Amino acid sequence: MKVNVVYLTTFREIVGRRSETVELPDGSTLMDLLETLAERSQKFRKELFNPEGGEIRSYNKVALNGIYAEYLNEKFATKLREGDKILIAQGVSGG
Amino acid sequence: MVVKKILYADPLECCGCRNCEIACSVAKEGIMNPHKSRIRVVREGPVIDMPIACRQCADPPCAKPCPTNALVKENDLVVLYEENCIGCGLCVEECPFGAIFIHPDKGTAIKCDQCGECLDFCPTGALKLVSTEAVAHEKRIDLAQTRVKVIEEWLLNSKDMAEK
Amino acid sequence: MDLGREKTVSQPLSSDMAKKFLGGNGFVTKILWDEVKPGLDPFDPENRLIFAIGPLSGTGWPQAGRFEVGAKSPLTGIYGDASCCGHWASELKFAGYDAIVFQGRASKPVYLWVDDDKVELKDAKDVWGKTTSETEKILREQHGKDVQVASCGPAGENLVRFAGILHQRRAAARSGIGAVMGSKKLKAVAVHGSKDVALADPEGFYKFSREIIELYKRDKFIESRAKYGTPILVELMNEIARWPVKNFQTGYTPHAKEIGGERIREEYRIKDRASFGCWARCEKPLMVKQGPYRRIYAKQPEYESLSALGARNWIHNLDVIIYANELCDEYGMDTISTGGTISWAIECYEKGIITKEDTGGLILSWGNTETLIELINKIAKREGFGNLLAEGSLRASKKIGKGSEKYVMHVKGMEIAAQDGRAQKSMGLAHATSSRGADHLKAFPLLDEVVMNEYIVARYGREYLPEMANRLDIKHKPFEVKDGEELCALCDSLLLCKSAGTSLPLFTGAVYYPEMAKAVKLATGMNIDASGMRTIGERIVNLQRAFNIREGISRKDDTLPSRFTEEPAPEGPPKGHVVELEQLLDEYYKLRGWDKETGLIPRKKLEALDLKDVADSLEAMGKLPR
Repeated sequence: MKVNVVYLTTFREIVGRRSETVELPDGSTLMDLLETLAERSQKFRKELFNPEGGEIRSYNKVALNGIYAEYLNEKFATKLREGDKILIAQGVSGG
Repeated sequence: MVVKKILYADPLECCGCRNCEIACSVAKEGIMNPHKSRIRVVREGPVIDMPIACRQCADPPCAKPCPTNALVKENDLVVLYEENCIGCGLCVEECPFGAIFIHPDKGTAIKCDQCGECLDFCPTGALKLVSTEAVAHEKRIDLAQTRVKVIEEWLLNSKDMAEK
Repeated sequence: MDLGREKTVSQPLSSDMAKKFLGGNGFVTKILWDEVKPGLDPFDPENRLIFAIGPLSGTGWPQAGRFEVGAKSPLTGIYGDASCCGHWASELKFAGYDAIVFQGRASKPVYLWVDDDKVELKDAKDVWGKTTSETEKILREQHGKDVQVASCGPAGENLVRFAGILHQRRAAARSGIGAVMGSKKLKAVAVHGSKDVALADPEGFYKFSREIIELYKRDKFIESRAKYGTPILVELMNEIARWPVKNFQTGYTPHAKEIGGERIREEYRIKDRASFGCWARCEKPLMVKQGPYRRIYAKQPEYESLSALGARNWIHNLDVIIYANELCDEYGMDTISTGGTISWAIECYEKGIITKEDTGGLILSWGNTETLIELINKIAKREGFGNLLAEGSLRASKKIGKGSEKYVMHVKGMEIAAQDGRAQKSMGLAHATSSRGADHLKAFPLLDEVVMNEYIVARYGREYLPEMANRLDIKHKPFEVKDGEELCALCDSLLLCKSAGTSLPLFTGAVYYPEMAKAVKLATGMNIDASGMRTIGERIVNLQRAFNIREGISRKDDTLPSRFTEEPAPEGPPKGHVVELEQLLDEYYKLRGWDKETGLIPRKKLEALDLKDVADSLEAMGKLPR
């Protein structure tokens, strides 16, 4: 299945583009997607994940179809579907 | 051997925050007063910010007119002997950079002695105490790098290597 | 400074004032309460214009480079203030002052020249009529290049009701304080100082400030502000449909990426610039490399300006927004109220309420960049249709009538900033309760802007999750707003940057009440503990409210436009949501200790905050709750 990933804030620079379509096996979860993306770039992995791995850094935000992962029932274990939109951003605030 | 070091920042990297002035004033005087900081930031127009401090000239113009020889070139620094300074201000007139001036309370000259206290307080890392050789080297590398992309493109686009 | 009689009086700051109000907006609030009678026309010479700084200004404490300006607002008729960064606040401290209070009106245009102990009113004939940056340039040529200048622009001179005060292209923009300055025929305040910034315990103070600097060095928000500034919020807020589009008709535009911080950094940014003692360096001079607007610009538009002059009017041309932003700065006008008033006019035109006859032949339409520029020019000069718009959207709608009032996106007469309350309920409440009219900065509820679970737990406790972090859930939002108002009032009295310095006070709590108390003690010797600092914040909030109550404000004015309370959000995550304002207000008043029905403050609350005289005064007017 194909999902759309949008990179905001500092991830735009790390990945070098604003968005892309990612091909994943059916039944992949949100975390599977993040792992797939991290495989491609050490810099991306380092910025997104805690050094121990497993969890994303607390100041990073990932949203699925506009809902931040913390608010999904399954959180990062949520299964993705064809056409889903995932946002990856540093959680900047202030206005 | 002279290893000439200068305290400087690229005017396009310095952000004009004046944290270096704060650090210097606090380090030397214990309080904040920009007129007592030995490094002074000039903000000019929309894009230029320049911290200016004594460049420790090899042939210091400030020393020439000094009637009491309070300014002496020693190794790589221009050393100010405060106890000899009479506060006449001739050095201020001679320095082309405005890097030496009169302390508002003491009435004698003050200038940067490259103690390095300010370096830790630059948010952008623009402020450096570097040898002039390092500055020149960086400029040479920058220049060469502008050629890298152009030349690589040319190499890749040429059909026959024998053409070179 | 009595401008009418051309007399200055320099007096030492009373320790009572310092202890109870600290500085900044604390001083502004107290002086406005004491000296501005209720019902006074804000353009009356008896209005006060107050410039104030705080105990940390000029010391080198990180992120403490701001100054505050306040007056009774000609836009709203209530409490008005705005703050601004740069290098003016520190210079005023070097000159040895904590505040300058202007009263009266000069007989001809003047500016104030402050050079340490020398304070002189000077003829402003060379600068009256000039733009804000020209004014700065001329005064610096006259008095010295290290002189710091704050000035109003032609918009302030022309009494545009949302004119602001500019310094080095940073703006104290809101509440129309620039118009008060213009009404006093005061063009600028130029300051030069050479004194030591005396501290009670300089060694202890600088040791502590360096510890805090180390925290800022490693802070992720500072890193983001340094890279992008506030424009990084554009795409983030658009994704949660909180980004005002077409006068808040909706909260999302597919074109946000054209005007977002990522694009600006990649294609326009030259470098970073900073205020005095600042570590965030969020200011960005830009270059527009091609097209009719090609040149170097001193400043990137902030998030708010990208909204107000951009998507709020369906404009996604970044070059035009950069130019329009500069125009507003040079004229000295608040971009939020400017863009907000224009977008109201465009919606009314779209719906046939305003016609070409009203506009003098101008066609108003979404996305029309020529009209945007033309209107900015006309508003600043009060020409033609611009003369009506210069009154602000609420007054303009009252003149037009015909149901145009429905589309005014305001609270208490001030245009709402770039937060759609339906997409973040805490912002909706913050707008409704803000003491200067619609404004997010008085409460600045950010913990639910981008899901800050760990900070909520650390600050308040696990029991506030998950609802406090959920921006669409009203639970715990009155508490978040109430608590935020006090913290922000304190930050504004110490003049700590809430935007770039955001994270340390507002999120991690690394600079919170205990640290602020310690900093103030080391700086001034004043012994106020953490809970005492919180009380000062609460006192300022209540005194601002009392000032507004005296001007006739009550619950009926703590409103939101019906678009937010009755029209469900049309798309995105907040789809279907409205702001449940009445419920939010009920709980907010309860937490504040204010009367639920009227929104007035009981005597008991005022006396607990050492404001007995205020209670007496309100009682005499019949303005205490029964």
